[in-house]
Amino acid sequence: MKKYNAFISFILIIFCHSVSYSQKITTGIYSGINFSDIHGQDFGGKWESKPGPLQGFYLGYSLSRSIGIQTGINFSTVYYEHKTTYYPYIYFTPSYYDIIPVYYYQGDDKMDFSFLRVPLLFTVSIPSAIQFNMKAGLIFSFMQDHSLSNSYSSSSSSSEPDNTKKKDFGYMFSSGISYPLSDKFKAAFNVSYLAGRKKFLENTSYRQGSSEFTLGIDYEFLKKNKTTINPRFASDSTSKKVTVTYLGGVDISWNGLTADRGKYSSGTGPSLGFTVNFPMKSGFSFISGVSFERKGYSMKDSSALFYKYMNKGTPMYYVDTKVQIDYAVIPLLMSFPIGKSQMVFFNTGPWLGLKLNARNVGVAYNEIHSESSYMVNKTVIYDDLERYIKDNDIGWIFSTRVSLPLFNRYKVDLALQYSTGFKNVYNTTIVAEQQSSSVADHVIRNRTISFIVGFTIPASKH
Amino acid sequence: MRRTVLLIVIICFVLSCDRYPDPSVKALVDYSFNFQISQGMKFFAGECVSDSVGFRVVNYVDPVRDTVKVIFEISKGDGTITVQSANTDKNGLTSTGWKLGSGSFEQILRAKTYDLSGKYLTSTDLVEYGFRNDVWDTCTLSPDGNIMGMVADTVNKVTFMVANGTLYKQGERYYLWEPVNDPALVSPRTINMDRNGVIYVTIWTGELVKSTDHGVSWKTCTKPFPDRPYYIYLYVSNDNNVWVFQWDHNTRFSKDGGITWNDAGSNLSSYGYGNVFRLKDGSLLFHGSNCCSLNRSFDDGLTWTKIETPGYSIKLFVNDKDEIFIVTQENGITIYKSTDYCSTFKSVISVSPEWGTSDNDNIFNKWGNFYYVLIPGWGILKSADLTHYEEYWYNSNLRDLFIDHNGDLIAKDQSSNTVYYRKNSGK
Repeated sequence: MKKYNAFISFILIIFCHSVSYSQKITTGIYSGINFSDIHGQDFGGKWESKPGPLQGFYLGYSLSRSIGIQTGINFSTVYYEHKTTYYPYIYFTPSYYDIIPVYYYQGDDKMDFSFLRVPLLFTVSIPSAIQFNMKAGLIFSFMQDHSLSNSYSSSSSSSEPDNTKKKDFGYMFSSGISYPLSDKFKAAFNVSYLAGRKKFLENTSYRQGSSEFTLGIDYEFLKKNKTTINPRFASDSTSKKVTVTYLGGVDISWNGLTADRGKYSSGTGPSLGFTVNFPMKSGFSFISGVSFERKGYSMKDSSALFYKYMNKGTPMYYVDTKVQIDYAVIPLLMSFPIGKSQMVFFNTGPWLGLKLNARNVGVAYNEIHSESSYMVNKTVIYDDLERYIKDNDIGWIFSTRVSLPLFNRYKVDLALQYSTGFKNVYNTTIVAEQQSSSVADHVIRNRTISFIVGFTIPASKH
Repeated sequence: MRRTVLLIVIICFVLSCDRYPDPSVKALVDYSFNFQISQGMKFFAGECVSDSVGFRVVNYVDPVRDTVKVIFEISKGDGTITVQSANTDKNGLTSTGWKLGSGSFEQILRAKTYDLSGKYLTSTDLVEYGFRNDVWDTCTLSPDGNIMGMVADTVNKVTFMVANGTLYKQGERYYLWEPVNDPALVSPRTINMDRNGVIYVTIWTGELVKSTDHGVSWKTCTKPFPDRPYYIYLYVSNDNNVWVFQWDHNTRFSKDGGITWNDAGSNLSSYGYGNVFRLKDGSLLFHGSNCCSLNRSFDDGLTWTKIETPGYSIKLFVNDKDEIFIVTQENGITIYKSTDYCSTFKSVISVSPEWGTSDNDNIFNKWGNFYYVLIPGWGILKSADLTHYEEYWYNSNLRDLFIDHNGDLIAKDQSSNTVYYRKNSGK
């Protein structure tokens, strides 16, 4: 969910950007908030996305108008909380039914970690009055403090485990905007996503992760020239060709497996992102970008499992659930014009999807019979599936797009897109370990039809 | 610009909120069902269990407003009920009368429950037992099923048995047992009785306890083997002497009801524990738990002379006519009879049991004018003279037999928790 929010924010920020200018050396301080997003967690339960503080400073060096490098130091605290199924028991006073009252219990595990972090990032900026920038690279973490607690009923235990890894490294992806306040100072807003690579707790597969929202002040060490102060009059030779399209739409996804297909139905999810269009000869163009997409499927049937149809096992549930897999999709498409109007296009090409999150949500009902009791239970399901799903998928896209002019320089795109994944994205090795049963029929093949609306703007204003 | 940034931040926070509820389990429907009388009670067949067998339904989710339909039926046995269908009242209660039939020992009353929409919820059984006449009733209840030993005083009309380390006295009905609590009776193991009605109980720690007032009070005797904290084997001979056995010790006997003890012949203990009979000529006849160990003593148990017997003898019995019977393992089980003090033996009956044991003491049981002879692994023979036999009950699972003071038979299965009751109406 946090990755989804980061991408939405990223899209909104890009929407507001215009061509910016670059500086040789820039430094800045910032403060903000992070939301935890753990990785490597086992199946089941709900990991809450909890806010934590963040502050730091950075130092950047521009290699050109658009490209640079950046490092710095930040201090952040990340809070994790895992909630397991909650069983409420009805309390009766002894005088009513002579029943000894019992109390409810809830499993609630919490962890928090404080880090000193050093990022090493590669930056890309698009000059404009409001500068838009993207960053990606490595981040090195040094744990300063940590705690672990789990609470059941009235007892709770806190401990500072000594089996945690003190050092970590990972990947960081960031996008942001900055607005000049004066000659030297800018206000900056950034959205970042971090994913650690090391398992930080012994006997688990947990890896650090979070999304961050920061506000800061940048200071530039070099003077600007007049053309850079008023970028609206600057021209860019590429701006007449390269365009950016901001996309939004609806995905209708389903599981393309062959066995038990009738047991599953489609699910819907958002599609948000941007593409960059590189025109080529004869009206052809190359299109790439990044979009957030939610794939998956729905299930409404009797099953022993909540996320997959299984007709053997006890208890059996009536299940109404959705499996949702969030991807960052990177398409690599060729666009072919249809006809001479240059308004209708056929796009096709491969796509790479990087898994961000996976979960199973919904409800399930089951009956329990015995000689002395009868129960119908409703289970509200939120099961983390991230470990059960492979980290990426690849596939192919077929798309038809209609591009309509708007306000001279802008365009509105309407597209119908079909994408198919090539891989079975179930991580059958992990599933087999945890379930100790056959996983031959554990298949998810991503299939998606998307209805997309896009807004295309040129790379600079005239 | 500031508004734009603020808007972006607000949207980010709003979108940061989880839209899915926390995982939970909630009972939408939760009933419990139970009968308001105890399971496993004992009655005579045909007797009324109760004219109001209560049945209670508890709705944990909506306790006040719900009512449930209950259909009663006889699931096993041929009993009758007074109410077939009823709804529970505001307290979740309903009831029916139940009279047992005689079609089976175990009888079951079943309550089927339905909610108001007619949806079937579950079935709940009430199991009770109806003891019948002239039929063997298989009983696996406790303590009955665990009987280890029993004595019946037909003069004073009392019967006692030992089971599960407890002494029980038979109640008003032959299948009812009441524990006997006395400080001296700590973990009873075996029980015997002499011809005067004095009851002897051995304790697992090697103590001997007796009652001379038909079980009203109990007194610890002199410990036969003071140095041994382990259980002993005991037999009461027809002359009311008490004989005790412990491995690696001399067999001992008491002529004064356990006050003082005398050593029997030193070679007697090598034959194990067994049965002792006083013959009319004053001699003693003994057979131990070991094979072929028939011995006779003419000096009141001080010295013993071995007697050769046909087959492989395992048990001894002497009737009031001094007729001597030995049980041998020849051709399965063969009973031999001697009327000349073991000079000669004559076979009277042979049977082929499916398995064998020499541990039980109750092969020859007399009630009234008949003997009921229990052959472990075969069943029960009936005889008036121990010379002519008829098959009484063939059951290869039997290993022991007891008869209470009213002549009701209790046969013990080779499994540790089953007995068979039989009350003969025409005895």
